[in-house]
Amino acid sequence: MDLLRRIRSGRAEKRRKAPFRPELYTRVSGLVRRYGLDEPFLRGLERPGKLARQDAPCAIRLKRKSPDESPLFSLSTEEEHRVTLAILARVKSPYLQYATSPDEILVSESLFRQNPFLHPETLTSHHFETLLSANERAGPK
Amino acid sequence: MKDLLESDLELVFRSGFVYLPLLLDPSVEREIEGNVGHHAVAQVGGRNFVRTMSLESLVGSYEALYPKSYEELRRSSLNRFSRDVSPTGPEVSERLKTILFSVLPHFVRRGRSLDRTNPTEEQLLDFFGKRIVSPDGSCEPAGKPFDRGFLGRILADLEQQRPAVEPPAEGLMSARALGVWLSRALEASILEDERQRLTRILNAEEQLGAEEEYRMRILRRIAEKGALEIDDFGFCRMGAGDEYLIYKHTGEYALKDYYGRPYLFPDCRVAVFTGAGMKPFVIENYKHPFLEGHDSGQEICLRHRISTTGFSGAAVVEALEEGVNALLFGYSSRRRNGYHSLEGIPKPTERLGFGPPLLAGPTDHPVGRRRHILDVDFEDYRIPSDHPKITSGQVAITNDVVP
Repeated sequence: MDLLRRIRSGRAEKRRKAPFRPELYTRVSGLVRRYGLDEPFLRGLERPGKLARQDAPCAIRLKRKSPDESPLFSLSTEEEHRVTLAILARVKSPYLQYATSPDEILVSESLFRQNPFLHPETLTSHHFETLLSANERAGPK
Repeated sequence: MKDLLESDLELVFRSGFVYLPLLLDPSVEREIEGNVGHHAVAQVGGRNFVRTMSLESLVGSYEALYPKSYEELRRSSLNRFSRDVSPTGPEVSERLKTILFSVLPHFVRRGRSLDRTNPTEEQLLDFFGKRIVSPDGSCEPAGKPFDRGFLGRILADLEQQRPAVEPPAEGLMSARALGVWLSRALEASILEDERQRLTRILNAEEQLGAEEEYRMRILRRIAEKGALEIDDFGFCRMGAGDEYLIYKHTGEYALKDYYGRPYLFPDCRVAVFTGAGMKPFVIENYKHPFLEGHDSGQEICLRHRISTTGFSGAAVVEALEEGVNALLFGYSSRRRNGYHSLEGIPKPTERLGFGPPLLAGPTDHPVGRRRHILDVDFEDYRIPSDHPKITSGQVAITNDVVP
């Protein structure tokens, strides 16, 4: 590719509109408002694995992923804002932005620890607990 | 607003303004950091509230913002404080005055009593006084005389019961408490407005001479009836509000078809409704080439769109004239324009390549708004060319000169 063409394609790439993606804060605060997450949930974040097992005691956990209904913009009450910031501070996982339910927030860190190379498409189409269960069955790579 | 005032929200009232709980996101949080105490953000009990609306302006603008709610409140307040009977008789609205003084003179046939080009309101009221006839046939132009004593008593009553409304206490308050305060403030404002209005009316009545008082009685009588018909023009009030059906009779007329045969059309009323834009329609069950079917309340197909849709004297005149002209002079026997032609029912033909099957007949505009044409037959309107009404000149063929 000659220089001129490369410059043109570079400029065209810059001009292309990027799809709008809500920020991580917006996604998480949307979940906080939708599911009414509060202090007990934050306490549950301290022991996510245990909670997840209590919710689904069977060996193979097949769960349907909730539809993604995150708002485009989010303004929260002070309580919701505090809970959202606490979740963002405690959950250190890039998979958090694909979570669509409180269960997925709880297991997103475990899932990332277990397999940090999951594709966004996989994360948007499968429930985290299902992925976690599948990874556990596959065993360590 | 109703949702807010009926919620369990806590808000703050400070310096005449309502402060609502501040909603947060990271950017808002950064913005208010260090700015708490600024006039836009108030911190009460460790919570941040943001300044929103002035209570004074809310009370002042409530009528414009929430007209329905205001009207309900106004009605209930006045019923409670005054009497069921309006002390000034029926209200003569600006809309009614527009119809009487701007629209009606355009359509009535003016006799000797009203022969000037631009009659004044006084001349028109005198003219109405002569033309209003009571149900028993006698000429009873004016209503009851104005009862100044009754109005004075109502005014005194309002003066005595004038509620004093203090601004709410500064600090935290519930949204419901604000709603209660707002209702009381609005009620006080309504009663004060009413008191001022009645005072103005009383002062104006006291300055009226005998002739002017007589004219005011005529005006009030028309407002009380809510309807008037003079010559071919009339109007009537619809419901309890201030919306009117304004109409003009077409009278009998005849249209000729492609072969020159006359069709006698009965009288109908072309009307516009002030509450639904300026689109002329027929009141009666009627059929015509410019009407889609044979029904009442059909909109008339017009060549041009009416330029204004809001209510005004000029708009009503334009809409009625357009409607009447379309019925009388719009149909061309040569072009057979409109939904139907006079001389035959369109025959269905095969599909023309798009949409549902079209009906093509001896007309150049075969597709109606509902994408089909109703069978409308004008054979029963056909009359012989030497019909007495035609030969005597009582009924004219109105589309003789339409190209």
